[in-house]
Amino acid sequence: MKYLLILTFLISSLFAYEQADLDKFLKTKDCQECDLSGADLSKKDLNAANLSGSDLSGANLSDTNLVKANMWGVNLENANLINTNARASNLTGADIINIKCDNTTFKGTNFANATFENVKCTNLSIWSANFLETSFENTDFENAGGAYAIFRDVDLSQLNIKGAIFWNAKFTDSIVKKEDCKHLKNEEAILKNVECE
Amino acid sequence: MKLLLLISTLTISLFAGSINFEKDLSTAKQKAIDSNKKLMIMYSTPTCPECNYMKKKVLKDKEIVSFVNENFVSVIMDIKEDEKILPYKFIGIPTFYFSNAKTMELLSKKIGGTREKQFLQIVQNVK
Repeated sequence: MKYLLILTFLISSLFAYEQADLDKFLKTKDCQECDLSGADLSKKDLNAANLSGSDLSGANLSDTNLVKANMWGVNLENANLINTNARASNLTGADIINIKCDNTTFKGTNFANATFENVKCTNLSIWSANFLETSFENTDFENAGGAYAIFRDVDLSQLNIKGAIFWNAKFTDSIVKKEDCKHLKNEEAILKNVECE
Repeated sequence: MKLLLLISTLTISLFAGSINFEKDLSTAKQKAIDSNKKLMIMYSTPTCPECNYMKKKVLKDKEIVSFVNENFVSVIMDIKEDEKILPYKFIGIPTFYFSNAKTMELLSKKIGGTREKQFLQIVQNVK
């Protein structure tokens, strides 16, 4: 029984945020390198918030306004971003692993050097988003809206883009699956120095 | 007669390329009432990529152009410039509002960009 209690405590502490960090953030919308893991930030207005370097793993950000938020280098592993509006946000260098992202808006978001792993989104919005040296592993952007998006120096062989809208999107110095190259050409995407393999 | 046919063919082909957007809401409303058509109002901004995709790609589709021009009077409203005269609340752009021009009753709306096929279904389903 004792061991069970200790184990429960240890497991819960692994996902617990720092209350002081959460209080500070909710008061100021500014909390850099904070521990907000597992925090409930759903339905909050966090427009232009600064969360750079923070741990948001397991956080609930569903229905949250993160428009123009600075989330440089954040850890979003297992975070819930269903119906989240993160338009024009900065997710440079972010860890985007196993997130929930149905109906999520990332219009004009900067994903430079971000890491996507085990991500499957329905009705994802990535119009004019920027993917510079972004890495993708087991990621699904099927039927996403991504006209005017920019992909540069990326390997898209583990990214599913079936049915996605990529009209006028730019793909430069990148690796794309053969069937996806065909899809991108049909979409009138602009391909420069792209390896279709 | 031949000349008349040629002129009408040329006129149709000239206007088949794009939707006839009216310059403002009041003009569009009046024209819709006069021609017994419904209103299609698009909320947008010039810098919105999703809106530009709709304007430059989807709304250029021949079938959509033909159907919309035949059944709707259309107007584009800039959510910033026209902020004070927007007839409906919005949560994002682009949003398309389809309404009764006389009463301004909202018949249906579509939020966000979509492919040609879906958009055509949407406009065809406006009752």
